[in-house]
Amino acid sequence: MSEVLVSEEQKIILLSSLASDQVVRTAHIVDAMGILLVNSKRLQENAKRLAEEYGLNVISTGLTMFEACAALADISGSK
Amino acid sequence: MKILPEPDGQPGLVFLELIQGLRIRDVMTTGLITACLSDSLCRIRGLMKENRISGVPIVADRRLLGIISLEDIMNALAGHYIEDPAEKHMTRSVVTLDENMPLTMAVDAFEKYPFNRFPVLNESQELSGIISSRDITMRLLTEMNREFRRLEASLGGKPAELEESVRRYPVRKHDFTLAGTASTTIKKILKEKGIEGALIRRVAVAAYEMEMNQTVHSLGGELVFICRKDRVELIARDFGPGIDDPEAAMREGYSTATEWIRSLGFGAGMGLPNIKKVSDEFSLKTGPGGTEIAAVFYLNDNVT
Repeated sequence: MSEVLVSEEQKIILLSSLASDQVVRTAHIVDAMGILLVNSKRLQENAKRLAEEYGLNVISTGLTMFEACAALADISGSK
Repeated sequence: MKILPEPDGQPGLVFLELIQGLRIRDVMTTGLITACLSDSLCRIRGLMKENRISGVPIVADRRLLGIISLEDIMNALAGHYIEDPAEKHMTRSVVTLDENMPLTMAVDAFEKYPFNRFPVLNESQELSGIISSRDITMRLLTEMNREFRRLEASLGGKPAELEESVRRYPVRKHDFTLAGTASTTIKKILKEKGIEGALIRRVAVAAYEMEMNQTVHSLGGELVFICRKDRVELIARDFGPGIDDPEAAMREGYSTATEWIRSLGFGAGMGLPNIKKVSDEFSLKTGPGGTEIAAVFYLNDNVT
């Protein structure tokens, strides 16, 4: 999470295989636009409430972290 | 405008601490005006008038035997027995307090009984003082005044410069539900103040790392958030156990976190270096009694 915190990138989407409160908080702290959960992870109730409170979009995918990164790279054309 | 620090959601905490910290002997009057059994009510009336008091304990060898109140004197005047000795008319069953009791018990006694004062006894059951509700009020006002001055001084400036606010957030060991709540609140406060986004992010990141550090490594502590006119300060204080090797802790990637902590997404050894990186001033003090990390952020770009 610290790696994410120290990045200076703007308009980021946080990819994570963790679905805890802290992932949501971290995303909020760095003003992420949303969270992409890989490995079919879903937010637990409290984390879901937090995401709603912070106005964060959360998407869950069955792809692995590697596949999700590759797919995103494809979309953004930055292969 | 002066804003005095007040722990969030706990108004009157200072006041409560004052009452709880004081004992009856700290507040009671010890310069006692007493009389003995054979003294006439007329003489006691004189004592009351001279000393502007409304009750006189009757003692023998520092033992409390009874009390004569203003009401007893008024009755004596109406009943024409003002020359009688105190022994004959004093109230013998007197409610007393122990000088070692906390002040709260005196406050309770005033609520429970209709009396204006209570004689106070020491461990040897001797009369050592007397306490009135006025004593309590005056003492509390004095203490509160002192406490406010102390708080003003601790903010490191003359009272006139106090255009700032101080907020404190508790952090508990391994409480990952609580961790991050202070940072979120701080972020919101800064946003409401209209602070620029990039700066808010830096402060929020530092606050979050501080909270996580304390949650993961310390026995618990607090995060202090100070908002001044020209700067924002974050101070993370904990109760220990201290950082064994502070120099190593400042190196990226150095971590003492357990596997469990790492499984939560933390403990990558970036915490302290991150805080230093995003702040304008950084300091670290550590010892077995606790660690204090301070980070300062300049609000004005011209200040470097």
